[in-house]
Amino acid sequence: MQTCSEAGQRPVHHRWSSPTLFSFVVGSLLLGLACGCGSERPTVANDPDQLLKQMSEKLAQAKSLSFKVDRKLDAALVEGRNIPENAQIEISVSRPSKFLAKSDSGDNARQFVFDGQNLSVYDETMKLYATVPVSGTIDEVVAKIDEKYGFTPPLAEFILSDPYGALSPRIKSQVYKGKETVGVVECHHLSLGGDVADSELWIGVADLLPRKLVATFKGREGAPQLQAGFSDWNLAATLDDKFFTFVAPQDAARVEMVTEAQMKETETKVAVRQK
Amino acid sequence: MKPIISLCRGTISAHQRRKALVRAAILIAVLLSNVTVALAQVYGVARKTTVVSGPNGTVAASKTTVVSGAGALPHGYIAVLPGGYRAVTVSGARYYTVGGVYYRPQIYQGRTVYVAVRL
Repeated sequence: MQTCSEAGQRPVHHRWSSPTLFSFVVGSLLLGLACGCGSERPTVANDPDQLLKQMSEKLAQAKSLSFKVDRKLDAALVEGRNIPENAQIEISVSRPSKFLAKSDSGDNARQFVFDGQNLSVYDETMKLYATVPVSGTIDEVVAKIDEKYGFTPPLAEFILSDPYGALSPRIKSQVYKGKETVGVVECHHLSLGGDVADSELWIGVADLLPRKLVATFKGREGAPQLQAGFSDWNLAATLDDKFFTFVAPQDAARVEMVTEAQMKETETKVAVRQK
Repeated sequence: MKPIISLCRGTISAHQRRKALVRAAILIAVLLSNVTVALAQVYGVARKTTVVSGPNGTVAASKTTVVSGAGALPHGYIAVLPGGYRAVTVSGARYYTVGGVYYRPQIYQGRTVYVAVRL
């Protein structure tokens, strides 16, 4: 900047004094922050909560759907066994009250079948099955068997009528980590912190469907993980009622499905006997 | 119609009040029908809330933990049969026997477990 000095009538260069420069820099920064310049403002496209809601709505709107999951469980998360488990899972759902989940881990194949009136668990490997009467919507039945029998179908959170309602109460913190590619699918990467598990979830940018989940169970020694890769999504699957009807094979034997209360009673009896 | 509630600006008739109550009832019904399913499972992995009791039955601490692994089954239960087992049918029910011990299969937490029994 040039001006004339009154003394010498010579053009001189004004020098920026330190306070002026400081004020300029701080002012520019404040203006930048106010305008949102230089920082990524939260939008629907990168708001983890909004993305979870959109994923949930997409799943809930599908009345008849099927998908596959490639699930890896660390040894510490496999009930009663101390070896990791890799399972291929196929899940089919007909809302409001039917589902079928087939799980095959190589040495153990199981089915969970709910036809609206009964839930059957079939151990294909050992040719054993248990059927219990339980009725209601998928949400109601998942909650009932969770409470009474202490389990849910694999990744049940994603087949409920409101996955967001099932997932969000557990989420204590959430961060949008950016866009990443899972396989060939461009995804939003969300980091979801919880009390029991911290989860990384990848949701497809184009279809808003879950593509990958990595849950770290931090309360356990070694922080074991569950990894799930979702694929083959069909939100308009053709599934008739017969598909969800469990018919026990002739060579299969019926066994009892033990409730949590029965198991606790057994534990108490054993403890008393040991004293 | 006789006004029953006076507000700062205007009044609400009994008819309007009834309509407002019906709307409120519908809203409550919609909200209640959308109750969240609180699962004790996290992606299918069992968790349990352990409550530590203090003196006089007071709750000293409450901690939610994931429960799994061999420790989850009570004494006498196993998740995998020992090698060399064979299936037998007793009174129409299936059992497995190995090394002189008989096991009755059951489904527990969605998986097959075996409890040692005396026949």
